[in-house]
Amino acid sequence: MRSHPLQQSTFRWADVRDVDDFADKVKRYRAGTYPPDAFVKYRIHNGGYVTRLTSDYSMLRVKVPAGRISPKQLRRFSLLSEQYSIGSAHITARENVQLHWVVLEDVPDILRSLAEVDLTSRESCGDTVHNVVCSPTAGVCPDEVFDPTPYAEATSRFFLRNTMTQNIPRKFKITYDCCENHGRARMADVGLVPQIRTVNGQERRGFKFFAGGGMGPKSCVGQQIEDFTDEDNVIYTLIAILKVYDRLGDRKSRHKNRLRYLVEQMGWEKFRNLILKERTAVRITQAARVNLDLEDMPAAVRRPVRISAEEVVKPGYSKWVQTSTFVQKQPEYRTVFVTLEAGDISSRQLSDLADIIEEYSGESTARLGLIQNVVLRYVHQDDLVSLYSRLLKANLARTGALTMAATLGCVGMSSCNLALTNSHRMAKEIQRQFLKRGLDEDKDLWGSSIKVSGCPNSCGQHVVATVGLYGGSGRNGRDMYPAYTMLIGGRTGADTTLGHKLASVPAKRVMPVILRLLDIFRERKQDGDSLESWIRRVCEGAEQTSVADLRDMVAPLISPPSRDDDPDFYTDYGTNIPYKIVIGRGCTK
Amino acid sequence: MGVLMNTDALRSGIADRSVHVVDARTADEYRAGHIPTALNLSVSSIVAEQNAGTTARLAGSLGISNNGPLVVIYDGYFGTAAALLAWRLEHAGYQNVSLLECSYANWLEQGLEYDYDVPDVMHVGYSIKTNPSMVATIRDVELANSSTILVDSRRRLDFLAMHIPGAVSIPYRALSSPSSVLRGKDELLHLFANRGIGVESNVITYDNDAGALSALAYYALKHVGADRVQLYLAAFAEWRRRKMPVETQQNATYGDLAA
Repeated sequence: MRSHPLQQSTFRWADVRDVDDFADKVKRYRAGTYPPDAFVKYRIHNGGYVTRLTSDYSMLRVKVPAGRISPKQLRRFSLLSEQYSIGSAHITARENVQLHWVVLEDVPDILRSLAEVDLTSRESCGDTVHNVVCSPTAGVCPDEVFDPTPYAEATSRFFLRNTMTQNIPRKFKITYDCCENHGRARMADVGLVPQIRTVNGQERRGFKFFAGGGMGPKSCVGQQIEDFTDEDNVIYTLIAILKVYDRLGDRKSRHKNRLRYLVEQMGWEKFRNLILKERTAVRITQAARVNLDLEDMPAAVRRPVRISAEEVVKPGYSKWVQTSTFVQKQPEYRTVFVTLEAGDISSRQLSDLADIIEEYSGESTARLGLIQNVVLRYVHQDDLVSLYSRLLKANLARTGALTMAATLGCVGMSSCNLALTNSHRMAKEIQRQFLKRGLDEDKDLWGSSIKVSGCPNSCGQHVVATVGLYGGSGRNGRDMYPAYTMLIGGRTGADTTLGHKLASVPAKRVMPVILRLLDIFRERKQDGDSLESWIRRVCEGAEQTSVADLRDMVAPLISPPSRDDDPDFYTDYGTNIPYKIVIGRGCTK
Repeated sequence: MGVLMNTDALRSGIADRSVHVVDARTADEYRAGHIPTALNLSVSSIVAEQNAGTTARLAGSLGISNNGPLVVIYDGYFGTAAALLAWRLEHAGYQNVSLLECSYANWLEQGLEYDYDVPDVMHVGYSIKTNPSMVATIRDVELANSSTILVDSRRRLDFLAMHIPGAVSIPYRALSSPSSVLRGKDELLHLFANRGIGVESNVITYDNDAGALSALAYYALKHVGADRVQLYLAAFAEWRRRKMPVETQQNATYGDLAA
């Protein structure tokens, strides 16, 4: 019998049988009748990720397919974060919601509560297909040819609990973009960008289909399998890739077994041919015709009816409209980006946001975004003034959501075993400094980004940032200090490019170095330049200034002072203990 | 007497004047509307004093005596203030004390009646029969052996930062649901079982200083039938002041995850 996910039809998306099983496994693990290594693999597969240097706690990662989240679900996170976690939740760069520092024994109770609102953490971590991401602007983006959201959601449903993907060599990430400019299709194991083709006189939907991309210690830009994969062929292509990966992927070295390593080992052309051949075999031999089970998106949205008095325009309004919202392809509506600090949102803000979505979004639901943010769509232009006031009250009206100020940062030392630095706080510090200095207003910086990881493993996506940082350490004699390797010139989109290494920058010098780079840019830019375009030319060698020149220019800022002169230099953000490297194990056993 | 009284029972009690309703919120909040016939005994007026006499004197001044009708207490949101007041009254010898199952916010949400009237009260004398078995002292906590479970009722981040060695973390908000100051018995039993607590366990609850969070935990345990519960009245503040040993979750900057 070919693997075919017929059995999943007896399961709900979030199924209490998973919950009961988890509860049972925790008990057996604590009683010593379930082997620790097997338990770690099991809990991770079910979204109960390990927490920094302890087995008493868990991080729970909950999948939100295509990022589409309802007010009811947000309210549930509000409740659970207060009951079982730290009073706030964390929104990730891959459209998951994470609860941190949860007592391991409480995980089943949380899962049970989440299942009531149709949420599961199953297969959000581990060697399987993780959450399927979709651009938060899908359906409203002026540049898209059609809305890929139903495809992303159907892909999620197809692979959850699918026997084919329960134990593949390593994690597998799929992402759908709305258009060439708003997404990360080339930085995932599989990425899809909607296309429309006329085939035999008929308009057909399909996708530009990329594979083999991904971020990690060795990041790689995905390559194009086809410039047009008909929608009927999408699921077959995905199955073909997963089967080839399952069969040929390296299962020995966890550090080198993502799909991109298989691609590297085989060579792209050979890999691509094998996939296309495999697809033909899959098509012919599937026991039943398999198709993505597309659900219709909600019909036409309606502006929520609200009775409101004449609104007073609160200070900061126009800056907020300019830097945190954009006009949809439905011209009377705007999409509003709610930027948090490195994805953290309090219990109170979660419930406030749920109310706000119901009051202001014509689709009465929200999307999680790609930079740890929340996206409200279908906000009628006449409601913006009032919405701004409401967001201000909930402390959710940060400006600069669409600018360089909106810094992305992985959780780092605040929860992760592998972190070398407090990248989470670093991202918050950078964002605060940018907003304090009004840098979100600087139009030359629009289109640029800052992304921070706490180690080389790229959860903070530093390789595709205009300024990317990943954590490490530096040494001055016997004294160690936290430091970041700074990359410049990375970007996503049609010409996705990985950043170039600039320098190793001590944590406490990151902000001065960024400011210095901005000064150099302002001195040397040409008419019409943005920071992004200027750095691009610098990295391509098309400027008088080279990356090496920039390195020399920032060098004076990064030489370490003595510990006596500046003890703060030798501590990381968020602690006053002299820096030392302490790490635990990730999912690797 | 049960730990919780439901809204229907309270409304009948109000109708036949068989209960004393006590509002534990501030005077300002009370003036802005309260459950009919409720008296105001703001928990902030007793929190500073750990003296059972103060509680009894204030209760007496409102006409509440320790052998009178059932006293039913509520507060604004979380049940913590109500729990603290209830605990203080019981400690001062009041035996007929219950918590209203919902907060005043829930009461209003349900569309139940409220008014602004301040009932006439008649002072009653008070006598104090303190109930020392309800209290754990620092010595009790220090000498607690493995058969006694220490429950830390503070928020998770506070617990991670520092707690009494061996304590388990049950943030006070884990005890409530959106519609009730205490969750259902099954859910609570489950929560406690996950911390190794059963109805036969010896438990000491504590919070940072005021005792409101640990009082809610105290009543949550009583609610499920765990009777061997004490509250560490002088709380973690005393523990710290006396420079007693603490446990800390080290090498992680969890505080930076808070929004």
